[in-house]
Amino acid sequence: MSAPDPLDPLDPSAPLLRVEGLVKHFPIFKGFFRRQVGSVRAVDGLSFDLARGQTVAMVGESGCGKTTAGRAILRLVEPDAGHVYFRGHDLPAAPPETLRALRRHMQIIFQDPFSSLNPRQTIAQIVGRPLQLHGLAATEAEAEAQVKTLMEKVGLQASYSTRYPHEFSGGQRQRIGIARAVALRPDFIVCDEAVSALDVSVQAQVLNLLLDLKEELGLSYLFITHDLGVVKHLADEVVVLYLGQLCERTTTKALFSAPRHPYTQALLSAVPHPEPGRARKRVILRGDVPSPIAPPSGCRFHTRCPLAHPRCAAEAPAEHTVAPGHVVRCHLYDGNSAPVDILAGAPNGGR
Amino acid sequence: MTEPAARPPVAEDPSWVDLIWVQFGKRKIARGALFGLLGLLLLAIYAPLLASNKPLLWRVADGPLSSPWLLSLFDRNFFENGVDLFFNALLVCVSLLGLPAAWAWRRAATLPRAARGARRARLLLGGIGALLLTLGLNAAAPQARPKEVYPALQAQLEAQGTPVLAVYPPLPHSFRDGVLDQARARPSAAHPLGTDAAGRDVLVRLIFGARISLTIGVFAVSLYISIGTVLGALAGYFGGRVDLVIQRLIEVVICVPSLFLILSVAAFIEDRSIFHIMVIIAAVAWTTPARLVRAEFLRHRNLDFVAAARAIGYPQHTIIFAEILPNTLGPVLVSATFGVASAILTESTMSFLGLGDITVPSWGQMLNAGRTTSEWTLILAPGFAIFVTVSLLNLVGDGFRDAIDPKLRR
Repeated sequence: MSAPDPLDPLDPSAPLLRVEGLVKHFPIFKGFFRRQVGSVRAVDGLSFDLARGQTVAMVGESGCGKTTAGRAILRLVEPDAGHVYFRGHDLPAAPPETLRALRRHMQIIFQDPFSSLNPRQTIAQIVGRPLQLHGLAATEAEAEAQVKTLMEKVGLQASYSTRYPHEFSGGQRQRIGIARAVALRPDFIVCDEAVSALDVSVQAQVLNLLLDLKEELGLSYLFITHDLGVVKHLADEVVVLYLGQLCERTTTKALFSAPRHPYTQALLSAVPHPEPGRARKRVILRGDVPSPIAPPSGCRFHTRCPLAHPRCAAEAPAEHTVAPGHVVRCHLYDGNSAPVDILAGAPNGGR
Repeated sequence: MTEPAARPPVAEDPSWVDLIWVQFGKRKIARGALFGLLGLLLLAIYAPLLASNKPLLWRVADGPLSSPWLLSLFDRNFFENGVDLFFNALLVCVSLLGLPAAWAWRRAATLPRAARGARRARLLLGGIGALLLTLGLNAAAPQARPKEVYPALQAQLEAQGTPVLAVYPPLPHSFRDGVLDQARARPSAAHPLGTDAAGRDVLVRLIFGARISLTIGVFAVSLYISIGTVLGALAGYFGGRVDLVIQRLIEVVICVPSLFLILSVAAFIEDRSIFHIMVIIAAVAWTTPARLVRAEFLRHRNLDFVAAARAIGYPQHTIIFAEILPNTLGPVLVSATFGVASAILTESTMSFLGLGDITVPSWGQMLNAGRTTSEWTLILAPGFAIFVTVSLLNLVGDGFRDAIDPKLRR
């Protein structure tokens, strides 16, 4: 754990990125002397691996810390604890110059295509300047030629490069954001709700663009989303978050066929089904997500869990491996790896 | 769908600057005021052409034809003040290069956006270069010309019977050297607004005063906008302790009554020049742009494009000054327009209270000089000049503010 980097960058089978025990708390200050009275526990001990060429989806409700986790991994917010191993460095401990050089290899695509592009710069500047900064283009003309290639790659007319962001639609802007992210030829990209601000037909186009680019450029994605349809479409692995903590981590196939954690099961039962008139059992979770300022004791899900028992309120569950590559944080799987069905055993949940 | 290359080129939408400019043009009063200011600027630049006691053309008998006026433009004995020498250099540059430059500027409008920006930037740089070159040549030129008073010389020569050809500007008076036996003359054909207590023509001093007042306004404002923008940007971007220190500094400066501070500091400076006055005005006025820029930075620093800039790995100064700052300049430019007006007023107040630079013909100085006499022209003329200039600036500022506000789009 304390070794500089457990990942061997030369070993192609080693994961590209390893997140270990990532923690980010936002302090809350109050009063005249700005004393710290508490903190928002946005991310509280998150661990997972991202394999080369794979897509890991991070799902959860609003406010569960998905976005913060994505930004803490890239050190756009400073994590409070934990390790992020990437290309032979531990990112939270990397000195500024090392970090600046590493930034070329990890990029981000934002949710809101309207605030993610600088309104005073042309597309050529937005996409081209990073190329010059990192020495991928020696001159402005060289950068411009690359910008034109990139724009065609993301499905925009190359002659639009002299335009400003306000001259584009939401879907086009998101394509520009994608062009900016892939311009530096990174190893992995954090897609922070990259399609949720777009309407459905455009969503599909942008998702397919992302898949094409992944094939072409050998990218890995960390896909932050709350849309399980998107997850099914493009993820290889899924990490389910609840109040800043991991609930379940497994392959997409296993998640959709045999979800283990009661929260994952509830989440999946809420996905709308395209077949009309089919009677379905749904689990309606009661109440709201508790406050991340004062998270519940023990298991954080116990206040809403239909299968909660006294131990859940008293003791925080550990991560249990129920199958190879399938991790669940729930007391029900302490010494038991058979799936527990939330619908069958629910005292107050099934309908 | 056809190939991208086969599509016809689509006309570019207007950029943000174009939009502002179009919006500003739709406001007739503001546009008129901008033309008024342009006129005032031309008046300041071409002041020597309107009023000088050096003849434009001069020939004694059959001697050589000369132009003492042209030489006087670069005469550091005649124009003692740096402001006047600067405006004279501007006069030469504008006269020689103004029309071709304006033509090239307009022609650039037909170019595509990127080339247009580059072309116009080159034009601007070329203009500044020419101005600096003229100033440098002026500083390097030898200065040993006799201080001849041409109207007196002409009268003397004609009394001797020598024919003299002399063409003067419309107002053949110096702004500095008075004729004492014509002191406190009433308005007449020779002196449209009369003369002051030292026998100097009031209209001529008014025209040259425009140079001083515009310089004070523009320089003081550029100075304090630069200070305020940098401090406000740092406070807004970094927050925390940096913000705390800068905010307290701003509050301290705001707490001191500014006129009191200006007057007491000015009273301690011997040989006040107008440059001292600009610095004093800037020292108390930088808080306004600092707070504006800070607020804009607070609004922008959490937007995703700033996070994107950090994810790309731009150095911090690039993020602050190249990424965020251009987005915050709209309100600052509006406040700068109002700032020029208030700087002119502050200088007039200081001069009126006797704490200005007495060697230059600023409007406040003239007002102060007029106060001691009972001539109404001496009080009303500079007062009216201040009123018109400040009103024009405020109207232009109003127009820019409305043009930037998307809710008031027409």
